Amino acid sequence: MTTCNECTNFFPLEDDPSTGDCVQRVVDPRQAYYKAKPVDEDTDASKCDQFQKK
Amino acid sequence: MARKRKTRGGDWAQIRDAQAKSRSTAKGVEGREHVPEIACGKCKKFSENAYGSDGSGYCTVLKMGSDVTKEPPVYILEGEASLVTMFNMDTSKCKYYEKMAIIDTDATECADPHYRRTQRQMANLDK
Amino acid sequence: MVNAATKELKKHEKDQEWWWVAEKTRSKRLDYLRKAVWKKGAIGGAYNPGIKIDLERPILFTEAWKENDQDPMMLRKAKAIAHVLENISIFITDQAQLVGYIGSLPHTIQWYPEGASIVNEEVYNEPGTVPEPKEKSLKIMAEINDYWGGQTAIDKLGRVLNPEDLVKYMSGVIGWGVPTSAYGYAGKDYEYILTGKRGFEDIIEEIDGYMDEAEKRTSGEPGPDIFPLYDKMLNWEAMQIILEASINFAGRYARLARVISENFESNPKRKEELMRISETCEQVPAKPPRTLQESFQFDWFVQTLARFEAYEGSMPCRPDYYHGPYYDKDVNIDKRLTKEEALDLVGEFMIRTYEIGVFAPRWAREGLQGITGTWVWTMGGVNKDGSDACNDLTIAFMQAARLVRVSNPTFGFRWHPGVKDEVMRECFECIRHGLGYPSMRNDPILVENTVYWYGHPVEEARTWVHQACMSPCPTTKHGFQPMRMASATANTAKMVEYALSDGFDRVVQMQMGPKTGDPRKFKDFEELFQAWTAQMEWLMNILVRTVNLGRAKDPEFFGRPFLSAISERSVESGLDAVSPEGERGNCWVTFFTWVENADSLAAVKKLVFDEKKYTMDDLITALEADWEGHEEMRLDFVNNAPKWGNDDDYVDDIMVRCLKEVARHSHEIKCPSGNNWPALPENVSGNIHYASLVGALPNGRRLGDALYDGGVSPGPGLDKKGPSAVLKSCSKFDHIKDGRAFLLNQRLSPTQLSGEKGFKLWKSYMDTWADLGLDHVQFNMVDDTTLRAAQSDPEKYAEVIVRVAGYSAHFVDISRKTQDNIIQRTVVGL
Repeated sequence: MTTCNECTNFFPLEDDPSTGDCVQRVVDPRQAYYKAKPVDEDTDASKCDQFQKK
Repeated sequence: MARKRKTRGGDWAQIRDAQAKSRSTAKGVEGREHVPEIACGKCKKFSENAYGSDGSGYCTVLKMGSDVTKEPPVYILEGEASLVTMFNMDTSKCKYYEKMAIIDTDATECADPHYRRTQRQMANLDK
Repeated sequence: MVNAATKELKKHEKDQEWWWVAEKTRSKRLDYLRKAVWKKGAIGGAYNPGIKIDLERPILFTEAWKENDQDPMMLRKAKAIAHVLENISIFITDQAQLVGYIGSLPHTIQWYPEGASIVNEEVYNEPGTVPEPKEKSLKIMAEINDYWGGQTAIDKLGRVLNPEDLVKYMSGVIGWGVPTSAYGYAGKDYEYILTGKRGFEDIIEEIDGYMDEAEKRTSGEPGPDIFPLYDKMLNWEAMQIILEASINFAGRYARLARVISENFESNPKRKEELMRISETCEQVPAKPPRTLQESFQFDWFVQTLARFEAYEGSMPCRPDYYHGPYYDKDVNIDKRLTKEEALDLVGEFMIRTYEIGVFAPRWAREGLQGITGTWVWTMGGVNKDGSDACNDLTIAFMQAARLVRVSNPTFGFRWHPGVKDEVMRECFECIRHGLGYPSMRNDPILVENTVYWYGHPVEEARTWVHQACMSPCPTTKHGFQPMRMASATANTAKMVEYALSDGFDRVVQMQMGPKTGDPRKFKDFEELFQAWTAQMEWLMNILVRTVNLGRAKDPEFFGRPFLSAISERSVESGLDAVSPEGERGNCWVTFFTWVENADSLAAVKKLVFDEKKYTMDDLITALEADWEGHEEMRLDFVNNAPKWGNDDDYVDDIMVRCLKEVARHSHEIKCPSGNNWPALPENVSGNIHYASLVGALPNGRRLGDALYDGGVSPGPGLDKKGPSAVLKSCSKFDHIKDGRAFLLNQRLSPTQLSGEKGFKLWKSYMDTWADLGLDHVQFNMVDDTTLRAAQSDPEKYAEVIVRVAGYSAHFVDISRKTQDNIIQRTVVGL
């Protein structure tokens, strides 16, 4: 199973690497921004269309 | 004979309970999406509640105590409080039903709440 | 040599196209951020394309709510919001220096399913706002609605209220609002939280002290005095949970900024800015701010976090006063910021506010067309000792307003005799640029009014902020108001309508008001006036009864752990901030559609009882027919009856008499703190929302016609004697004792008021206004040609702003009826 910790968008927490943020660059019709969503390192990423192998 | 408590609140309590019921019953997607062919929301006599677009409204002809789902329907025409109903209530048995031409489902013009139907579910119906 | 760009700018200035002037003079950063905002205000009653409901908070909140069903309200709530703050997506927009949003993405609007089922169903039914994939979202929304049905704060209140009150109130015709703090206007104890003395870590420590003491007492000798402490300890725990979650929430932004800086950003300047954002979010709100950026960020976290807890429909704050010392330190003393750099921060602070979006029920969208809440920021005024409080940041805010040109927030300026010309000139420039703000408020009058109605000590009254559009409220421990009681907003045209219909509402076909007698049988004006008085008392009573109960039960039915945690009286007492205990009281009844009463009563008095041109039977027959078939008679009532705002004692005396009756009754009805309920005439755009809910009136109005634009403003186009006559009419009642505040709209000519001469003319008008003791005035200064052009070519004029009532809006965002109503207002020559 592909998991979040294999992805370039995954940034583990310094004090607990088992969890972290999925950080993505988004450009919508009005603005560009970076968004972060908390995820666990072992979250299934096999269906994630933003997955990028480290 | 068992003692019966005095009923309080009259028609107003009935309206309150009818309104509460319309919002507290587990309806899922189906109960919310389905709009019958002949529904209160398509009738000229339905006045959408000015307080919200939750789909509730008043019948401007029938009063509380009426029940158009019964066979035969119960029509009460006198009273202080109007009958509470929903835009997607099946009203096929109601003899007062009169289809209205729906002219405003857009709402950018803050149209008359008595003649508008702003629910998403009404948008695709025949105008 | 003058270059092409300067020439173009001069031309825009000459043509008074201020939106182009703004775009060409603001910094690149402000230009980007201003255009980046997704506009959340509705166009008329509908949301803009692309705006979607945020589902992250409702899902996360409901998840945690279900898990903690054994906890009492405040604790359960704190845990649910903490769960949201820990897990919701966050974002940082390019070029931003201030961070924090109430939703997970920039184009989303927040939804509070725990507030009201009626709104939840509306969220489900709303066209255009269901997020993609639609089918999946509808399923989630239906599940959320099924869970919360019957369990929301309003559902619970509905089971307690008198059913007759509930049904009449919820009919939507006599007033508006939701009697819960879920949708309230919440003031803040800024004297506690924004004076730089403490951060959230300090409050957690303070609460520890109270909990240690309570633990000691509950382990000691038994007695009745210790019972309340058990509940209080749970409340204190809730406050600590939410303060910790808030610090961690800021920490998530600190981390994201650092991740972007270290891993994504290549521009060295932006990398540095991101590290500053990171440092700022590590500092605040955990600790007190040290710089202007930290001070704004602290405030912004407070505003954002409060909106994770409830739909706060207003933003009662005073940013120049509370952030002014940091501006002074950074710009004037330490010189770590240039004025231009500071202006970027000030402008962005306004833009962050403009960005807020919450799902508003349709009546609120229609009543506040084009905006998402009445964010009327208070500027100027006096310090607690009465000295002038204007500072360099006051000026910077006025300048930033002209650069970013947002319709929300707007400003209300507290004028007093000590305001310097330099500051007045800045206010004037904002008005001249067509922003419609600041509204001008008479500070000495309003401070005295605040003391008179509620007994606030004068030093506290001097801290006042606009609790919503108009009403002053202190920002102090016992003075601040945690729940505005928005549902005490009366559609007052119903007073005269019901006096002429024996209390029966012909529009919704229900007996609403008391039976005050068959109007056809009224023999003289006094009988009519008695009927009017009875209807007035009934209307005020039913709304106040409803909202009083809503306020008293709110800690049990809704709960505000975050608001409590930033309020000194709650931190000290362990009670929910919304609990009336410890609040002095600052309630008012907003009077929509008010002037119709005076004009209608005057018309009946003159044409029926004095001149006997018509009988009461003629009149009621015409009103019942909505004037149809009686056009000649209707025009007689329009043209030959005296109208308010023309310095005509005949109608002005009736207005004063009505206000004095209302003021008498305002002392008789009490809020949960035992204080008074004075009236405050103003409209927002309720005059359009209610147009189809108010029947025919004796001022010649038909069902469906727009109502007057409100407050004590004369009917549009009916003030025919010039601006002095308007001011004189408005000076005939007492702006301290006859009510809480009185909105006055005036339209001025931008041509007449151009240049230095224009400023002097306006100043002289303002001197007369102040001398006559009026408490409020606001101006529209956009000419008819521009407004007509904007109607026919809205895209070209998308940035034209107008003053609607207690707020401003982009002209293209308000309905055609509202646009016409504004154009119809008389342009007065000074």
